[in-house]
Amino acid sequence: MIRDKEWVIEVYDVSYTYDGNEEKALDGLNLKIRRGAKVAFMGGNGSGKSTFFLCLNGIRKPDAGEICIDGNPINYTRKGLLDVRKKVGIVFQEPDDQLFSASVYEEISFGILNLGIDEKTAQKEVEDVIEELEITPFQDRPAHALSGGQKKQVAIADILVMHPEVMILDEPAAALDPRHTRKVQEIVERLTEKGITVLMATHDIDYAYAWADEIVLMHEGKVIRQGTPLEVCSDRSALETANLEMPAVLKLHERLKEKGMIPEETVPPRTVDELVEIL
Amino acid sequence: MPKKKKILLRAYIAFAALFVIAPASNAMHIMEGYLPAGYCVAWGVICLPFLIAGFISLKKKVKENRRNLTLIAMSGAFIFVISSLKIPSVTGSCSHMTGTGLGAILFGPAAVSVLGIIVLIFQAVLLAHGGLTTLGANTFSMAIAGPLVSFGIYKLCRAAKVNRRVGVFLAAFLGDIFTYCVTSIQLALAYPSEAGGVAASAVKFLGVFAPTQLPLAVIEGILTVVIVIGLETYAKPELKSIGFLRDTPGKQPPCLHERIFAGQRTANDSCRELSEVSRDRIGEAKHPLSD
Amino acid sequence: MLLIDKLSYQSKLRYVNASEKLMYAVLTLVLCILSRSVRVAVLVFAVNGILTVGKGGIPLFRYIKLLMIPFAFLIVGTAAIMVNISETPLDAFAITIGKWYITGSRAGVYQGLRLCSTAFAAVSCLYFLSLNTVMTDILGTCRKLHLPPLLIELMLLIYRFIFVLSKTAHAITVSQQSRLGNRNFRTQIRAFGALGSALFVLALKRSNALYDAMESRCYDGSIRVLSREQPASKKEIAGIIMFEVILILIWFCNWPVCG
Repeated sequence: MIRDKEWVIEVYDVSYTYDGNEEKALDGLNLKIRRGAKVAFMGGNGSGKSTFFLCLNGIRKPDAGEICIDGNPINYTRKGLLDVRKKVGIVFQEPDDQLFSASVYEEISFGILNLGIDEKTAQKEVEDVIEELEITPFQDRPAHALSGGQKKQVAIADILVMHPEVMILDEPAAALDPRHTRKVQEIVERLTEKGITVLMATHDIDYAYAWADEIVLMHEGKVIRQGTPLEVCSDRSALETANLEMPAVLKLHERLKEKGMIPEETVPPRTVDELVEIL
Repeated sequence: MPKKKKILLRAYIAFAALFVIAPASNAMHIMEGYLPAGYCVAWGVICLPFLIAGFISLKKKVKENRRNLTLIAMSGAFIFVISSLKIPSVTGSCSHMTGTGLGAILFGPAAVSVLGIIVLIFQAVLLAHGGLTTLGANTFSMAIAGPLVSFGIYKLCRAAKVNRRVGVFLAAFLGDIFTYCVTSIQLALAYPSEAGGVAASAVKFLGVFAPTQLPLAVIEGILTVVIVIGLETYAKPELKSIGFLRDTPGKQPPCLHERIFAGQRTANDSCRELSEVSRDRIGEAKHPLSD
Repeated sequence: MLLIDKLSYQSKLRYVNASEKLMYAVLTLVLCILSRSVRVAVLVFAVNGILTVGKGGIPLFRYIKLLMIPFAFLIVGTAAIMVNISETPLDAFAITIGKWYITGSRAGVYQGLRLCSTAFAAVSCLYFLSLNTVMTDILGTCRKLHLPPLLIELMLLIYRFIFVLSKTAHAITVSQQSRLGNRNFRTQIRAFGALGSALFVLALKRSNALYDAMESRCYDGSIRVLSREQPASKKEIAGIIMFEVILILIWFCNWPVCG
């Protein structure tokens, strides 16, 4: 079978059950993700998003099915797993589950040194990432003295310094205030500019609708809908199954069309600004 | 004695008693600089064989499964945090438990010796409890002698089918008492009394720390019971997953799915099963993980 | 909690080479203990005070409060050394109680005072190290001393995990107290027990999550990190050596200057 390099991630019929559990966490999941895409993963708690992410970098091995990264199936040997983890990085939902060092500088240097890079180059990479993610003001503070938002920045820096091809963010804005949420969103934009494929789990349908190239709806370990934001967010039944609301902008657009306040043929807007343009 | 002097004397004694009892409710750390240099070195040397044995045992566990590293580290942090928490006390003063009795029961004396000295270093530097010169003496009393007694009594009570709660209480209580006795003897050896030598000095130290250490040992015993019984009732899988730390060498280790917390299998561990798993399931698996 | 840790990150001496600070603290500590000389102790205590409060910028009242922490043990322990109960009175003081005397000798009192001064000086050395040096830097120095890597890695992880667990413990305690968990002695015992068990379970869960995160970053069995150390200064090292020599001289001679 010829593997298509257009797809950076291919998932075929993957299933996974946690030991001691009856229900499957992942149940015959099929998915393809294009290189450089911005993909939002949405679904209720327990729909399998986090488990799926852990399968993508080899931390969890599926009971059935196959996962291909860059056209090659994941090789569960030591070297194979190292290769996968160089390409696929995960920023965990809870920074305290990721930051193991009290020193921000030492923390960020961990990943890149594990790649076998020499110390001098590693030092430059670490300092570059610190500057890029605006960590400089608090780079000398201990990890336990950082705010939630600052910890999140360090967690992202941890992975970014390793220059992955795919970056997975598990609910990056969870427990962040609006200012830090915006900061994270800016960082995510820069990732895409670098050509990194970004997979993000989020509950924020409005943000996903505005930002993503593709939305994947998950429910009970399966993908129930995958497509462009407009396709997915117009599919009412899929949204309902996944316990989601329609994005506010889209809802408003529909109502306004019903009331005849805007013409029928207009292209549905992605953001509030676009909607205002139409009016 | 004239009335005024009597009242003054009583007041003086009461004040002195309060002053002695209230602040000195902490566990038996010998403070920095308190022991003569020779004794500091001597106690350090006595600790070495135990520490080396403990370290080798931990190294083996980490080699068996790298995941054990964070597990062991968390256990150390757990001991530190437990010993830094204020415990309920009858006098209302500030008291802390040593945590080493609990540690010995949960993790075994080998792990507790190494984790204990690390905890003591952190307590000296971060909390100013104990010291770096007295590290040897404190390690011997709190991280080696006490836990060995706790563990021994715990096992003995299990073998003799003594009531679970009583067994755990005795283990923690007697471990604490033994630590307190060892510390008093360490002090007495360094500072023998002019009127009675080491023995009299030991009696003095035992007596002077007794008002705080005895109630503390009782409370620590009770708390250890509550915690251990609580864990055994509600957290069996978690206990199983650290049970390996306690296992004596040669004993059959718990099987894989019991070992990993909450039964989460990971790819690296599954690689060990590679030879048994059919190739079709995971495609081209080449070499099993070698350590 | 962990005031000393917080202060160490604020010290003005934080960026002085950590190996120098460790060397100074340990050498001075050892000399204090070996000499047991009141003269040496007083000088060391004064110098450390100046370094920590003056140069390091640690607030004076905080420093004094911290020095009081071992005070209770010192008083009780030294009293036990100085005071004897015997049938024969000694030459410093003697209080009669029936047939026995609560008594102490001059030599004993002097020994007690020497012990107090040595202990205070030693504690000031420890505080110099802990208040002016960040723990991760201390561990970096230990790494250079070629202590076993596994030991250093454990200490590194334990240091970080202490704060993670403390935060959790604090949250649980607050939640318990909000629900009147400290109403009386019995509920306090039960609450603490519940705290201990919950903390243990959470600690294990966390340890697994942290290991997954380390593996995701290609952890291969040894924790390698870059440290940012200030280079050692020849001037400072010379100063330290000179100071130690002065201490040794004071110990062995009776200089009228310091007498």
